[in-house]
Amino acid sequence: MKENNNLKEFNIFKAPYLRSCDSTRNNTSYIMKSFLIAFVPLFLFYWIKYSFIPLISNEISFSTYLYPFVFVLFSALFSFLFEALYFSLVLKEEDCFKKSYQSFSLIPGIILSFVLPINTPIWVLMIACFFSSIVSKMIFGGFGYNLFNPAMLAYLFVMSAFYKEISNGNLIIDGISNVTPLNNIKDLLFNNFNDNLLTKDYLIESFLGNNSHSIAESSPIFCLLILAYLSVRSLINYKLSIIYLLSCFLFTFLLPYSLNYDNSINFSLYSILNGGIMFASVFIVTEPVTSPRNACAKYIYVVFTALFTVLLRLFSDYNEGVASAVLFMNLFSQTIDKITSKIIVSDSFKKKAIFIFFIILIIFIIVLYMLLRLKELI
Amino acid sequence: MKRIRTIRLKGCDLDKRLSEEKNVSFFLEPEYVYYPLKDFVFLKKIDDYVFEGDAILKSSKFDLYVFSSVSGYIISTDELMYDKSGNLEKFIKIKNDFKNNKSYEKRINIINSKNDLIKLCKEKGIVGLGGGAFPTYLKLQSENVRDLIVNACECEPFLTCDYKLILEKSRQIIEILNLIRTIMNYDNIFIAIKKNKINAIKLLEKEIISMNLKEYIKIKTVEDCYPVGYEKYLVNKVLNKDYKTRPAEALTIVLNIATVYSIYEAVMFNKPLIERLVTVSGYSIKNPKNVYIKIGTCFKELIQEIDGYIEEESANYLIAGGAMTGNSIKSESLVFTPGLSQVTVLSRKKNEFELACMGCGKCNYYCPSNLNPYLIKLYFKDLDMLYDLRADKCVSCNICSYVCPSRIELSYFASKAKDKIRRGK
Repeated sequence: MKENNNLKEFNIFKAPYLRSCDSTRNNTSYIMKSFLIAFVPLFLFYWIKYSFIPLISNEISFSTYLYPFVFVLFSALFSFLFEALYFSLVLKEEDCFKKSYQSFSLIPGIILSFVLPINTPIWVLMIACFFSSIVSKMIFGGFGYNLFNPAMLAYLFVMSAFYKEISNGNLIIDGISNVTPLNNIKDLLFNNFNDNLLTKDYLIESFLGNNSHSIAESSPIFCLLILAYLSVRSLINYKLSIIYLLSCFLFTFLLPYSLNYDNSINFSLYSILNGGIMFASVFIVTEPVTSPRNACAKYIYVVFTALFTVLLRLFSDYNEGVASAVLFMNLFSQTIDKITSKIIVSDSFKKKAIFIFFIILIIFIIVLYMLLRLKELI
Repeated sequence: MKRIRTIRLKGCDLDKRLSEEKNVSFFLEPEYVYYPLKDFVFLKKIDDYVFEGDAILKSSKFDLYVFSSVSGYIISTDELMYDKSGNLEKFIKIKNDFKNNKSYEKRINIINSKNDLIKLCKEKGIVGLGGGAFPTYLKLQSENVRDLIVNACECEPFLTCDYKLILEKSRQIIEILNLIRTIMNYDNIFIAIKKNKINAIKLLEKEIISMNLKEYIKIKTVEDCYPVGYEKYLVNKVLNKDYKTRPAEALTIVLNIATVYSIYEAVMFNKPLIERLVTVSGYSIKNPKNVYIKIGTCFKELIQEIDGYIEEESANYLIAGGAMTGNSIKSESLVFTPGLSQVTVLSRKKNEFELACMGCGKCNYYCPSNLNPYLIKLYFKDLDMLYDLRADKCVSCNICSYVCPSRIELSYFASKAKDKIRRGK
């Protein structure tokens, strides 16, 4: 056997030669960096409404005015530094800062500062950042391998471990109640308490933004604007957000409605406009790493997240819905992904029918359970 | 029915313009020609003299022959050359004596029945020239076929040979299509072509009207996207039908337009499949154009004929096929087999980052077979899991790797997984 010599040699690559990620706009780092811009409008709204306007009318001092900015900055910085530390100490990387930047450590930090109450003491924030960066992200293998949403896990952790510290807070910004409006939600439904919260005016007010408790919950309308921006740039799948919102709306509407609750439409509007649902629909539920890969599985994941959000909000004694629901579904996202991927490509119609039936059955059982519980309580 | 999603490739207009405006040239006198021995039985002996059109190889799978495209002596049977999938294989080498001694005479074959046409396609060794190299007679044999779809989409970047063929031979193509339609008794013939190929569409329409075939031969335009040339997509788009393995299930067959023209040559000139039109293009080629070549020509001879590369150093990627489905070839010793319709030479700076999967799900969203390439890559070692994920359904369109924002080599693993399932281990 002989091979021709003196021929021009070429480099080898894996097909295809063309990659959309070769352009500057379509690769992962660009997409994750674009998310940073999306946080700005919500933050600016909060900063202007609760810090800048009070500053002009001389209600707060200049240092208090800067506090929300410092809060977000510290959170981002802590997350960045913790990951850099992990890279340098545990993984023995040389370029630890660059590595930390490349694993998009800023984003969970910023989300954390958004969802935590603004009066959280800085040392609690630091613990939360440690928990989100190291425990729930880096130990799992870094960006792309984390099982749980880092910010949500850390949020849940500090909310349960340091609830007293957070609710007493350092009260740097005055006049901010640490009680979220969601405490009322069960009272509204079960005890007909404080009906003026279900009026049209209050709903419009809360749609525009009236909650100073945390940045994430401050303004639903800005969340929607960010959703529009992110979908125009096709950075997230807007259908997931819409389905999440719609399912939350439907579940909170239909359940009281079927029990002849008078104000059920206002009640469901109230419950999606207050609390973290709006923010979660943009940043948490659509978060790609911890959700399934399969396009169809994503929808199932989102519907179930909505279902558990409503379930936890209505019946949990614990003042928390979205974060627990998201974490609970994170646990199943890989399983859903695997099962759905197998079912979709399978040729047998029977398997698909059984699968769809099974999904509907689970939803039905949970809804039925909620209905029975509600009947007891109302 | 699942809608197959398409994506507009970056800069595909510019890519095509390289070779689109240049005239077709001819390179019919190669010094050596090569034929692959893999999957074929060698009929001659070494040092035999062969005429142009002599059968030299017989397929071991089908009732099909490969014909010598030049006259001369067989000088070697273990020449190591690259085939279009990038593997180093054994090839037969024939030295051209430039005498053009033909074993077939130029005459018109009279086709009276379906069997005549099928027999002719079999005798003349006609295979699909779009890339699959699937025997055409097997496609024509399918029962109950109502429609014929002629694929002239060229969804690969840089590929213009079908377009040029239409510009040059539109009358002949419509003539043979009419013959096929009357002989095979098809209801309709659809020519699927991208809607931005306005010149070709006009020319075809003119011929159809002048031959009064408007009722039978229709032109269907498709978007300028990828992968519109995929059979399943075309059948879906043109006839609104779905099928599982073969288009014949949807009572249709899909032929490439170059195949149709090779049937014309077999019928009118009694010529076996020994020549074809190929595109040689890419940003590193000095003179990108379409060349009419003898099948079996080596790329090294062809590139010297058409003035070579722009800069010898910068031309560092040779692709057998297009930039989407083509395979990377190590050296210039690449042989033009019937299934190879284009060669692309490109340069690129090293840009081989690979990040972790961020879970966007684009690979699954765009996959024409609805696979989940990420899971296939993850469970690559687990054969049972690959069966369940139906990796055998992969059509190697490479769209998953194209869309991946993290540059993960998804299609590489998906194609490997398909081979793994085929081999059963």
